[in-house]
Parts: sequence; structure tokens; C-alpha cells
Amino acid sequence: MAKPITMIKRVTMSKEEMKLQKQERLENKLAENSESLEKVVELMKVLDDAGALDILVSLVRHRDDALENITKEANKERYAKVLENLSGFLFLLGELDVEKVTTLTGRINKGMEGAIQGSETEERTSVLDLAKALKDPEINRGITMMLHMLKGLGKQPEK
Amino acid sequence: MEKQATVKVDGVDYEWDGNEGQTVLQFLTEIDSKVPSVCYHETLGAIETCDTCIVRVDGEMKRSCSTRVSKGMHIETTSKPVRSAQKEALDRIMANHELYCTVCDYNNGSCEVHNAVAMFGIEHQGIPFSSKKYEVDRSGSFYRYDPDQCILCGRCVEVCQDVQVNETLSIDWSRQQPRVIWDNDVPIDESSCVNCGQCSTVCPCNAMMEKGIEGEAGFMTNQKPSILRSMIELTKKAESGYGPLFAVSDTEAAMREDRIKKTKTVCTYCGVGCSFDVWTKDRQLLKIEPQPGAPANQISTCVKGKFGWDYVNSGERLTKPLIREGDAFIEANWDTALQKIADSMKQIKDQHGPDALSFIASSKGTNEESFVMQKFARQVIGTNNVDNCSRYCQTPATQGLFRTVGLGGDAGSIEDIASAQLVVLIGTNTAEAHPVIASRIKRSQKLFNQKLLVFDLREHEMARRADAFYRPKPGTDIVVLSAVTKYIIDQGWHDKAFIAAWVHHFENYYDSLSTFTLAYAEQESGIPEQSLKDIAKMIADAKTVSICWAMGVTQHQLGSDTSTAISNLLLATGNYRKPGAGAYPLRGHNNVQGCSDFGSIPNFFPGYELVTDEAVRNRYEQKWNVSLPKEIGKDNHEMIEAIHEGTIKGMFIYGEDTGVVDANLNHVNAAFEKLDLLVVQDLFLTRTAQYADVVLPACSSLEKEGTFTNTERRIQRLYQAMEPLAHTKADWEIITLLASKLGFAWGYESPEQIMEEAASLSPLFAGVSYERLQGYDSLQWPVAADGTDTPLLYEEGFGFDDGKARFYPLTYNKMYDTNETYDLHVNNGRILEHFHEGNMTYKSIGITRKTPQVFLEVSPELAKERDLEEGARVKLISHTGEATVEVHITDRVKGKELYLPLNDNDQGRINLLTNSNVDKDTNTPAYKETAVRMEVLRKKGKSPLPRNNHRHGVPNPQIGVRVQDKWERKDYVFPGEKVK
Repeated sequence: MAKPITMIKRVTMSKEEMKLQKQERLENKLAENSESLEKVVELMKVLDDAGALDILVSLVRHRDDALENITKEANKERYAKVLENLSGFLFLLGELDVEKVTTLTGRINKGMEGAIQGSETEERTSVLDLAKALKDPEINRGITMMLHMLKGLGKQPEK
Repeated sequence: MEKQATVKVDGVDYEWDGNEGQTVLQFLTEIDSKVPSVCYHETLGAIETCDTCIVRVDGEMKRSCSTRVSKGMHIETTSKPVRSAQKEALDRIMANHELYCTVCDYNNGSCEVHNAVAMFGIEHQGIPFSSKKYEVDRSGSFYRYDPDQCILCGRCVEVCQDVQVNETLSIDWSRQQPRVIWDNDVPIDESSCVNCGQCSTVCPCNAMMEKGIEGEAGFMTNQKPSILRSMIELTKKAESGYGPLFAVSDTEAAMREDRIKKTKTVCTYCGVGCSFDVWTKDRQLLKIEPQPGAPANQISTCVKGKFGWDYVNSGERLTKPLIREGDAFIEANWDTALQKIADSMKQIKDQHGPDALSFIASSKGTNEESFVMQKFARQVIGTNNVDNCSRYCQTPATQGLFRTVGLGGDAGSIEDIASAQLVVLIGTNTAEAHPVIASRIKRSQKLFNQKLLVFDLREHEMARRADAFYRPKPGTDIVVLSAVTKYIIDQGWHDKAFIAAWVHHFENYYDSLSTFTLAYAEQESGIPEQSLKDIAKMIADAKTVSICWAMGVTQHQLGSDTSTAISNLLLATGNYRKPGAGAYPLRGHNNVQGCSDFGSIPNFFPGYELVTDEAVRNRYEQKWNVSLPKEIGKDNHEMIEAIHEGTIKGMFIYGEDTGVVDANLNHVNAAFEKLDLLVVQDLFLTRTAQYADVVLPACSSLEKEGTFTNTERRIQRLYQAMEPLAHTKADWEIITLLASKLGFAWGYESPEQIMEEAASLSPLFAGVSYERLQGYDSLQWPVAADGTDTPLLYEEGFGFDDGKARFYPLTYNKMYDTNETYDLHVNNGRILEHFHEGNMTYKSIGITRKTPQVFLEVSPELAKERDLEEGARVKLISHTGEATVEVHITDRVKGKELYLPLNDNDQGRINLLTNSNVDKDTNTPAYKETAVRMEVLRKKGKSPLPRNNHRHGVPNPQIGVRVQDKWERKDYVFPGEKVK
């Protein structure tokens, strides 16, 4: 004798019951992950001491404004060059021959060491000294290298 | 080919297998030589709009997608002119498409524009991007078109014109700035677009995009338009050159994989069995992504499968078991609810015997669920009173096939329907009820010269497209079919060799046809003799004939006989045992086929083995350790009668809104009221559930695993895309729990174990296993133990012991007509966008805003006669009940025939009008034999069909995207010419 019905009496858990259920679930999670959680608490403390949490909270709360401001700002004409340069530098780095640069910088360092040592003496160098010095194989190598570099600098860029 | 031929690619010789249909692009792909190809799509073939696949063939620049390979050909893919031509083509695309990948919702690794540019290694844009100056069209329900992102590749047009064949989209090449347009340039929402969504599926970029994924896919895509614009600008500045841009966007795309889950599933609407990936983010459904490898549908979908999933997350879902107490349901926990059911069932069984209980399985549920339902009825309770909703639709078709060819399923695959020389549709509104199959037929007819012959009362879309369309009087198809068969044999056009080799009882059958003369057929059906001769000639002339039918045949008192007549005709003309031919009853639900296959029917164990066969029963008894009932059980219809008689006291229904879909509802609902126990398992508090004593909250197909079997007998797996909604359970799990409450610990932990058991018991499914059904793999039964399946039936012989088919003689007596009191015939059936009683599709806002309610189709003649206008409100009265609906006037119906879609669960329910007459052989209700009278309540009003319904649209048919029109533009230069 069942007539069609649509009414549903919801059995709602009391607030206390729901709270208890949630607490229980949470406690289990805490116990399972205690080690990680301790580290997280430590991290939070450090961040909070530094005031970083406050900043983050505000920033996240206003993330849309922040994003709008940043993109608006970054889109201004004066940053165009910066952005271009950023990627320009990236490409520059890509074109450098790191091995050669390392050799060269090594030599420059050696040269600087020599320069510092040399500056400590009070000798003066005459033209004759220069000519003589060319006979010193180290100096000769140095000068030759510099001449080659000058030659390289002066080359027409390849099309 | 006598010898292997060679083809030279960039100076290297490759072997070519001599396949002359192969294009250069396909060949290059095969040898792993990469050429960009943006507009090419493996399903759509060469479209020739993008020009990016240009190569040099024997010294001449050509599009590789449309150039066929030939012997000794020289192909250049990397020379400088070739690369420049390709670059020019890609530049033209980039001029049409702004690259802001990182903040684009389409940046999911599969953007073909992105991938082509990245693969080619373009660093800088040759032609700057410029806006097309058209607004984004977001007027439609489900997808939006952004002209500025559109590269004018025309894939969407190809798919709309030649795959879906709805013929809505085109590219207007004559404008200064071409773009995609709808109909003759109206907004998406006002066009003839049926929202099949295939344009958004094939779009290679984000131009045509599903709205569900907008702002959802990326980590940074959900922004206010102004911020998004700024971010796009910034992205372009910061990422100068495409290389770095791609590095950032590819990383972001990879990160998205972490939170977007892609799961293969099978559609849960009609019997076509479309499968596709569903993209989800937790419980949120982002989009449906069809895959070219999907066996039944490839990339195709209809609006329901592509977009109709809102019901999964509907707020109306049941989330707690409910127990009736007085005039309300009280929420209960699972244990209490199941215990109550178990106690109640036990009490009924003890007091009245096992046959006082009855079970109705769902044709929306999985095969595994059907299996456990019948196992529960038979093993746990001890009754064969188990049936499913195929009783309401397709059992007569199965019966017709059992009588003649021995197996109750489609003779072949959808592929066979598509490749038939002649397709005959009888009583099937295919374009609305089985849209993806209809599209295959429409495509074959439009492009490949297939002929289409349609019989229906109503001039629906397929009828409009048909090469020949006839309107026999209701219920007279059997006369037409028999008369045509007789005429074919009289003319000697029948397939004598086939009959001699394969079919019994020819003489007997031919004698039985003697009454079916053309004159008699004309008198009964109203189709003129000459037309009947034309029909016979058309059928006899075709080398391959596939006949599809549906409820227009089966839901009659002679439904089984008419189905039999179809099969007789096919046998007489030799249209079995070959590709492109055969009988195709189009199954209505996703798992109508499988639910019966897996045993939820009163006379069969799984795999159609009779419950009265002792050997079969013994097999199950041994496995299940009980003795099983020997008598055939009651079907749905008999169950309702038995409730009225007082012999059935308890009923268990899962996933079936019997209280809406059964015929003669007042009678059915009265039965529900008499039950001692009614248990209903469903997603929603359906009409049927409202009568229940216990309601159990089930979960949707996206929330569980299992298999469905489509109309092609194809078994396909669905995977779990999301966790069940809290406190809901899969039907198989609920039934398993209930069994254990009654002392049967089945121990199933997954549907896979259930399938293993079914396969071990039923020879028809011997080789079915989850391993063989991984991903998009599927099996068409019968499946041998070694896993060999059967796409085309009867090649080894028909489904009888001697391998021979049988002609089955028939007689005809007129069973139904309108009369003076009930002078109108109310035809009924589906519409495209709503499904069944609408429990699922009315939850979709996008569908409902375009089709908010049911409507009654009335012919212009009848409207004039009764002085009605659009939007009138009428009451229909039959001898069993009355329904109230609003009127839509259309010439799809004629004279005194009305059409009432079945998608209503309120005052417009068709089954308030239908009666208890049934097919004489299977007890399937004769829904289609309903006579009514009409009372006018209001003469005119607001149309029940809003202006933005696709039925008001005006399609714009053409073949493909008409790339020639592009080439003829003054500003078009073939990139291959330009670089010369």
C-alpha cells in the first residue's frame, strides 16, 4: 500500500558528533605523519619569525591585484628593453665557448698575479727593457696572445 | 606487385609495398621522416588547406597529403626550397594564430600548431600575427569559437559536413578575411548545430574549444580577461623567440598532467557504444576527448556523449540509503538498509516461496552487474523471475533472429552498415536515436554512393535524406516486407545458390507468402504496387543490403513477426555471411545487448543457454553449489500482472525507471503500491524510487569499472574516472553485499572477478577477459577460448546445430487501428538531445536551455482542422489515461499522426497513454499502437521549442571545406610557387 513519496528526512549528525569524527580523522593523520609535521612546524616558525608568513598571507589574499599590478607594470614600455635583454643575455651565454673562456680567465688570473708581484718592485721599464723582455718566453707568449686577440676583435662580423 | 618497388627519399632508397592508394605523407610517416602536417587528420584525410606538408616530388613542389606514391618516385623533404616553402606555410598559420601557450587551455601536449612549429624549429615569426577583427562567439551551450586563434585549416568544416553530416559549418572564402561560419552566418546558438562537438574534437588548436575546459586546464589560465590579455602580452615579450616560449609552455603542459586525469570510458546513453577519454580534475569533468582508435565511433560523438554528463555531479544525486517510514524516507546507513532488505526478502521467500520475489536488471548497468543480478535471483533466492528493460524494446528483434539465423545480435559491425551498397531503415529514427551510426550512413550516402531506403511514419532526418522514403500505415511493415520478398522470389531475383546451401524450409516459406500479394500489401499498407516493385528491385539489385530497425518495428503486437520478416527477406536475397550485409536491430541503451547476454532474462542463463536445459543447469549448480529452479521465470510484463494477482510480493529494481518507461503506467504504478517490498537502486529519487520501501544510492558509470556490450555485440571496458560520490556504491557491489547478508559470500572485490566467472561458465564468452579488453581493445561475441572474436557472424555457419538458417513462415492479421472515439495515432520515440525519461539529460543546463520540455508534433493539416497554432496546449486521452502537452507544428508528421517524444517524467509521459497490449511472442509492450483523442486546452502560446533549438536552423550543405575556393582567391599563392 505504498504511495509515491518524495519527502526525505535527513538524519543529520549533531555538531558534536561531526566534530568528534573530524577530530578523530585528523588525529590519525597526525600520528601517521609526525616526523614530517614536526619539520613543517619548525619551518613555519622560522618563516613566521622572519615575518614572511604575514607577507605571504597578504599576498595570497590579494593575488589577483598583485598579478594585475605586476603584469601591468611589466608590460610598460620601459621594461620592454629589460625583458628583451634578459633573453638576449640568455642567448649570449649560449654562444660563449666556456672552455676557451676558462683558459683565458686562467691566464688573466696568472697575469694579474704577475702584475701584483711586479707592482711591489719599484723598477721602471725602458724601451730597451721592453725589447729584452720579449725574449722572456712567458712575456712573449703573453704579447703574442694579446696581438691575436686584437686581430680577432678587429674581424668583420660574419654574415 | 611482382617486385618490391623502391622510392627515393632525400637520396636514400626505401622499399615501397606497392600500395597505390598510399599518399606521400603516409609513406613518409611510415619511414619516420618528419614533415609538418597541420590540417591533415588521420580520420579526415587530406584537407589541403595548410600547405605545410609541401615536398618536392620528381622536381615538382606538391602537397604530400594529396600526392599518391608511385614506383621510382624521388621525394625531397629537406632541401632548402622545400624547407622555405614549408616555413612560408607555417608563417601563414602563425599570422592567423597568436602563440601564448603557457596561458592557453589547449596547452596539454596535444596542440598540433604548437607541435608543428616546435618540430620545425621556427624561432621567429615571418609574418606578424594580426587580428581578424571578429568577436569570439560564445553564444552556444558547449563550445566557443575564437576567430583570432583560428588557422582556417577547415578540419571542423570537414567533420561537420562529411563525418557528422549535419552540414552546419563552412568557411566563407569569399570574404576579405575568411572565417568559419554557422549556417548562412548566424551565431552558433541560433544555427542548425546539434552540438555533437566534433568540431572541437578535431580542431588542432584552441579556436574551437569546449567551454568546460576554459579556464580550467592550465595553472594560470583562470584569470579575468584583462589580466589574461596582459599575461598574453607579457608572455610574448618575455619569451622572445619560440624556443624559450615552448620550453616554458612544455613544462607547464607537463605539470598539468599531474592534475588532469584522462580515463577511457564507454558512453552510457544509446547502444552505439561510443568510447572516449574523459578528462577530469577530481570530480570535475573538463571534457570528453574522442580517440581515432575507438572501435565503434572513432572520433564521433553526439551531444549527450560529448557534453551530457552534468548528472554525475548533480546536487540531486542520492547519497544515503533511504528507508520508507510512514509518509517519508528516513536516511539510514548501509548496514541497516541492507539488513532490512535481506530480512524482508527472507520473510517473503519463507512465507510465499522464492517465486514471490522478482528482479529487474538495468540495461544501463554493466555486464558484470547483470551477471550478479541473475546470480542473486537464481542462486540466492532460487527464482528465474529476472528480466531487464530490453523487454521494453528489443526482445522481439532477438526473437526474430533466433527463429531464422540462431543468434540474437547484429550480423556484423557498424563498419558493415557503412559499407553496404543499400541501407534500409525501418522504424528507426536513426539520426536522433543512434546519431553516430546515422552519421556513418549519411556519410556513405553523401560521398560513397550508398543508397538509402527508409520506411517510417514520420519524415525524420533520415527520411528526408533517403533515396526513397515510404510511409506504411502503422503496424503494416510485416505486410510490406513479406510482399516484397514474395515479389522478389516470383521474379526469380532471390539468391538461389545461397538458399540451397544455407537455408532450410524454402518451399514451406514460399507457400506461406501466397497471401502477401502486391495488391494486398497496397491495401493494407497504403504503399502503391508500383512502389513495392521499385523497392523489390532496389533490394534485389544491391550486392549488399544491411537492414537496420528499431522500436518502430518491435513495439507492436507483431514485433517479433515483423523482425522475423526482415530476416526472411535477408535470407531470401543472400544478405548474410558477407561484409556490408545483414540484420541490424539497433539496440537502444548502452547495455541492452549485454544485460540480456549476461543472463538477466527469465528463460536464459548467460550466453542464451536455456534454464530448462538440464546439462546447462548442472554446470551452474556445480559452480554455485545450490540446486537451481527449472521453470522459466516471469518477464517484466508478467511480473506486473503477478503483482496484481498477488503472487509476486517483492521486487528489486536497479537502474531502471519502470514507473516511467513501462507501458500503461497507471496500471504499473498501481502494482507498485501493492508490493510488500520494493527496493530501488538508482542515482536519483526517480518516479519508481518514490514507491520504494528501500532506496539505495548507486554510482554512475564514471565512478566504477566494468564492461558494456554495444549493438555490434562489442564488449568494451570502462575504467573508473573518479571515486564514487560519498556513500554511494556500484550496483555490483551492493548486490554482492546483499548476497552476503543472505548467507552467500561471493567474495568479489572487482568486476574482473565477476567476468572471469561468467567467461568460465558461458561458452559464448569463453575467451573474454579484462586483459584482452585493455584500453580501447574490444571483443565481439562469440569469443572463443583463445580470444578469437567474431566481427561478422555466420561465416562458419548459422547459429543452429546444423549450421543452417531457417525460413520462418508468418501470417498477418490486422491488430491495431484508430477508431471513431480515439481518432489520432500517437507515435512516440526519441529525440536527439534527451535520453529516455530524461533523468540524466535534464540535469544538463546546456541541453535544457535549448530543449526545456517535451513537445507534441502536430501536422499542419491537423492543426488547421482543429484550429491550433504553435504553442497550443492539448490533452491527449487514450482508453488507459491522459497526458497534457504543448504543441509544435511541423510537417515531419502527416495527417492524423502525432509524435510525442518519450523524454518526460511528468504530465507529458507517453506511457500515461499506452496500454497493456504486447507483442504476442515476447510480451514487449506495443507502445507504438496508441490511439488517442485530443482536447484543446489552449489554442496557441509560447512554442515549447525555443528559438535557439537546432530544429529551427537552416543547414548549408556542401562537400568538405571547398579548398578550391581558397586557391582561387587573388591573394593566394601556393608556397611551392613562391619559393621557386
